[in-house]
Order: sequence, then structure tokens, then C-alpha cells
Amino acid sequence: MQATLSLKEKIEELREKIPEARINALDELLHVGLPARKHEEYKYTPLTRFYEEISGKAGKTEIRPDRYTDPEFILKADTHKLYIINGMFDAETADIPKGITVKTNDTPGLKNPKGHDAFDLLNDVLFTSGCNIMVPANFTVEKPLVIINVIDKASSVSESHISNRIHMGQNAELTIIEVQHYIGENESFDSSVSNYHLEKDARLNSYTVQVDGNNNYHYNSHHVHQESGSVYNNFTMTLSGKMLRNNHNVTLDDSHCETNLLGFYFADDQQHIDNHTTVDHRKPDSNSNELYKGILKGTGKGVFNGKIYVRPHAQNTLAYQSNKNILLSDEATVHTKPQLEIWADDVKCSHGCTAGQLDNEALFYLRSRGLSEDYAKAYLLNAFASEITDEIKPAFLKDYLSDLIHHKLSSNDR
Amino acid sequence: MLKITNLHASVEGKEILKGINLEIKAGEVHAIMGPNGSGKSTLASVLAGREEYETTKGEVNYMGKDLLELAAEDRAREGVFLAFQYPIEIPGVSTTNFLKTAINQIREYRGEEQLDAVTFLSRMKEKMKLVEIDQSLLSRSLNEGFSGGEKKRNEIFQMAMLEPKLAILDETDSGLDIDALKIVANGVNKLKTKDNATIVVTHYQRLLDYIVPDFVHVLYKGRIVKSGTKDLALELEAKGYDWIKEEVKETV
Ligand SMILES: Nc1ncnc2c1ncn2[C@@H]1O[C@H](COP(=O)(O)OP(=O)(O)OP(=O)(O)O)[C@@H](O)[C@H]1O
Ligand SMILES: [Mg+2]
Repeated sequence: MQATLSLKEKIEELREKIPEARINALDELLHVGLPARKHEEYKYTPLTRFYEEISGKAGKTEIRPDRYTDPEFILKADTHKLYIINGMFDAETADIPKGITVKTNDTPGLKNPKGHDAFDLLNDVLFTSGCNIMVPANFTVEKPLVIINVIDKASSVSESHISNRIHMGQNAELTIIEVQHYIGENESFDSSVSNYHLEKDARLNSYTVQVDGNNNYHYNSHHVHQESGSVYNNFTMTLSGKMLRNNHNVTLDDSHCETNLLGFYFADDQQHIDNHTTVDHRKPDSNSNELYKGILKGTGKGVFNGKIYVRPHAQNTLAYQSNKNILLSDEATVHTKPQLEIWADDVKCSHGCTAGQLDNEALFYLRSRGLSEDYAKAYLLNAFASEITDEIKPAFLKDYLSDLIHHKLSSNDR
Repeated sequence: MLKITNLHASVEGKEILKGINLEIKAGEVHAIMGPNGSGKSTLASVLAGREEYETTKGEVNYMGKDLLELAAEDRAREGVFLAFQYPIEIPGVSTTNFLKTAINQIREYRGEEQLDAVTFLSRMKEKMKLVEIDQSLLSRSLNEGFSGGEKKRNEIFQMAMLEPKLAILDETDSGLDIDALKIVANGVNKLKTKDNATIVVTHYQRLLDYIVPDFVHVLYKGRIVKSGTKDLALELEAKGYDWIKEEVKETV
């Protein structure tokens, strides 16, 4: 696993320019290199190749606010908004909810870089900014906070790296919606790393919305650390992009934590969507619940890898995981792998993964009632997706995403 | 209305229907009985257009059309309805939900106007009363967590909504308690006109007390081996199938 010469050189050059705090990540990255083709965690997802390709071509991006408009569904919604444009958090336009603090983030994410995904290391070395959100104890932010990550690649191939942090004080509550928003048709590679910390009894609902862009490669990584009684809910929706890798790592570091991870992905022709999750139960009496569903169409590819660790002390853990896939063509593929490592003995864990065609019996049932084959299929696919979308709390987001899925699934060339 | 001639059908290379002949005229009720595994549901599925079943020989003429040429949805649009022996569960799809689309697709096929929401709802109300089914059941995921009886009632409700010309009821009576049986039978009878026909597949004479058949047929090993009036059903109830199996052996 050696970094290519060019990447090495590029990284080495940074040694003099970056703050001291990032040097560890830099050294580690030089040591391990970006994942090569045979790397266990990346064997289906050749993100390194595309990163190197795009990074080599990336030009200087100009920031042109006149090119920018909010995605329609946010325009009309009653939310707070923060913008990160081509890697820079825009503190001036930020609409910060009263009672919380949002600053420009310059703190690297990794205390100890050993053992991390090399793209996390890369982000740690290269990220230009992001937002650092602090919600004080016992404070509830009423309206959702939307973080719009704008990648303007209209004038050249683009590379950008951002890093966000959220600290939830005791018993604080916040809903955030992270939206990827791409402008222009050029290729791009962007990484986004988020570090969330939930103190005792805090509640964080996060929505990761990846429904925009078509020529983009995206690395997304969440590290969530939960203290006792806290609740973390994430919903990851991926409909667009060329190749995406999402890492979602949650550490339940105390008892009575609750973690709910929901995901929906739809990979059409030439799209590649990879979700890796890790749920780490370290202490007793916590629950985690994970459901990812995907539809693969044309030459679309899906990857799901779900790790659950139940450490020796984590007695009375309840952990549930499921990944279900529907393949709509012979060329579509999915690689799904649950990985459970359980050291405690008094636990309830279950996992399951399925990959198959649409249910023929159900199709026949609907057709026997007079529905055309296309309609019957769309019905079943929408029903498949609705198990996830029904769980979206903000109504405007739920309506928007359900409609979007509906349109994608009803498009004629099935 | 329906004329089946020398129909052969197989599934996964195994022949199940081995030459069915049956003629049904408008206004008639035909009962089909026969031991388990004789091919009754297979016949129903073949008529409804299930693609796993391959028809290897024979013809089915339905109102002047070659039924076997039509896709399942077009058969429904032409007025064929199958009440399933084992109605499946479809998570995330409610009866109300798909039925409205189904009805409008059927109407479009027939060149009729779309049904507006108000008319649809009032028709729903009327038919719900007919089979005494609850609204809440119809807005839940299809058959998910329904009791056996609720599933069957839901089938008859759909039949009432779609007003078919040829209804095939595959063991709709099994799993129903006496009261539900009467309700379902009453529903079927109310929907009967001189222009439509019904095929009732059943194991029990009891249902035929309520839905009185014009003809009773016995299907055995993929063939109709005996036909008669409703007295045949009484005879079967009393004597079982052994005497018919013997008769078949003798003629072979
Ligand atoms: N999809 C299938 N694959 C394989 N065999 C099948 C299939 N469908 C039906 N069969 C077989 O065909 C035969 C007839 O089945 P069918 O369901 O038509 O019987 P039936 O008369 O309806 O029985 P019952 O009274 O138990 O409902 C059985 O032996 C059955 O196992
Ligand atoms: Mg049967």
C-alpha cells in the first residue's frame, strides 16, 4: 500500500504549510498510503484511482455567488442555513439559530490517526474549513439546521475537503440536514468528515442528503461519539453522484444510548454507492438499530458493509441490522456483508441481508387487479422505499425525497 | 362466455393440467371440487395469467378472445378476477391505494372516463358495507397482519370494487367462520347478474348451500373426471373421493 509518487510529493510539500496538529495525520497518510485496489475495505470501490485522477486535473476554482441558488426544496422550507462553498465555511451568510455557537472549524478531526481510513487522514491534512457547532446543555434548536456544502465545478475540475464538528451539551437537541449541492458539469472529488459528540441525554437527528450532481466522486465520513442516555439518529439518502463512499462510525460509549441508522440508496447506470457502517457497543444496556435499503438499476453498483462490535462489558446490548436490496437488471450488482463481532454473552443481535429481484408473486397480484406491469413495479419499489422515507421527520424533506424517489422509480426505461 | 378446450399446462417441466374441457355461460355458477393437489389452483392461475405456468396445449376462448394471448393485467381489464387461495402480503401498499389506480387503468383500457375521488370513495363505502369490512383494514399494508378471514374478505371486497364478468373464487371459504361465510356468500350473490359468471373452487359442500351452483365438476389429476349438478357436491360430502378415484382407475 504505497501512495503514488505524485500524491506523496503533494502531501510532503504540505508539511511546511500545515499546522502542527495535522502533522501526525500527514505522517500516517504517507506511511499507509491511500487504499490500493486489493485493500479489504475498498476492494469493490476504487475511490483512490479516481481521487488521483481528479486531483491531478483539479484547477483553481473561482467562487461565484451569482451561480449559486438554493436547491428548490430548501428555498421554501423554514430552516436555518449554513453554507460551505468550495471548502470554505461562509460565516457572513450563516443564519445561526439563537442560543448556539457556530464557528469556522480548524480543528483536525483525529486525535490519534492510527487505524483510520486513509481518506480520513487525507481529509485531516487537506481540509480547508467547515463549521464547528456547539449546542449548550438543555437547549433545543427548534428548526432544522441545514448545512449546504456547495461544490462549484462550473469552471474547472474541482477538489475540496471539509470537516465539520458538532458538540451536543447535556440534554441538548438538534436536527441537522447536510446537503451536497453541485454546480456545473466538470468532474469533482470532495471529502466531508464530520465529528459529532453527544453528551449525556443529548439528541441529534442528522440527515445526509446526497441527491445532487452527476459527475462527482464523494467521500463522506461520520464519527459519532455517544455518552449515556443520548440518542443519535441518522438517515442517509443517496440518489446521485458517480461514486460515493459513506463511512458511518458510531461509538456507544456508555449505557442507555440509542442509535438508529437508516439508509436508502438508488444506483442507476454507471453509479456506484458504497455504505460502510460501524456500530461499536462499548458499555452495557444500549440499543442500536440499522436498516439500509437499496435499489440497483442498469449497471448500478451497491456496496454495504455493516460492522457491529459488542465489547466484553457491553452486556444486555440490543443490536439489529438489516440490508435489503432489489436488483432491477442483470448487470446491476450489490455486495453486502454484515460483520458482527460479539465478545459479551448476554446480548440480542440480529442481522440479515437480502438481494433479489422484485417479488414476482406481488407483481402478479397487482397485475391481476388490472395494474400495468410498469405501475405494479413502481408501486412495489415505492413501497420498498417508503419503509425508510416514512421515518423522515421534517415534512418538507420527507415530501421532497419521497417525490424524488417516486420520479426516479417511475422513469420509463426500467 | 368461457370455453376451455383440451387445456394442458405445466410448471417447471411438470405437467399439471392434462386436458381440461369446460364451458361456462353468462349467468352461471360452476363449482370445482377435487382432492388436494389435483390442479384447481393451477387452473385458476392459468386463467388469471400467471406466467410461471406454461400452457402447452389447448385453447381458452373468453368472450370471443383468445384469453391465453392476453397479459395478466389485460385479462383483469377484460373482466377476469381471481380471488386468491393464499392472498399474499405486500408491505407498504394498501388496498385503497392500489385499487384506485387499478380501477382507473381498467377504465382507461375500456375507453371510459377516470373515476373521481368522490365517486371512488362512495363506491368504496357501498362495497365495504356489502362485505362488512373495515376502512382501517383497507388503508393498512395489504394483508399484513390480517387474519385469515380478513384476507378472504378483502379479496371479495376487491371483487366487488372491480365488478368482474368472470370471477374465480379459489377456496374463498376456507378459513372463514360461519358468519363470515354467510357474509362473503351473500356478497357474491348480490354481485351476480345474468351477464357475469362465477367459478367457485371449494372443498366443502357448505359454501354451496349459500352460493348455489348450476354445475359441479370434479378435478382429479389434472382432468375434469366428473360433472353434475349440486347433488354431486352432496354425494362427495357423504362419500369422499375414493369412489371417483376408483371410477377413474377403471376407465384408464
Ligand atoms: N409453482 C409450482 N411449482 C411446482 N409445483 C407446483 C407449482 N404450482 C403447483 N404445483 C404442483 O401442482 C399440483 C397442483 O397444485 P394446485 O395448487 O393446483 O392444487 P389444488 O388442486 O389447488 O390443491 P389444494 O386443494 O390443496 O389447493 C401440486 O402437486 C403442486 O405441488
Ligand atoms: Mg388450491
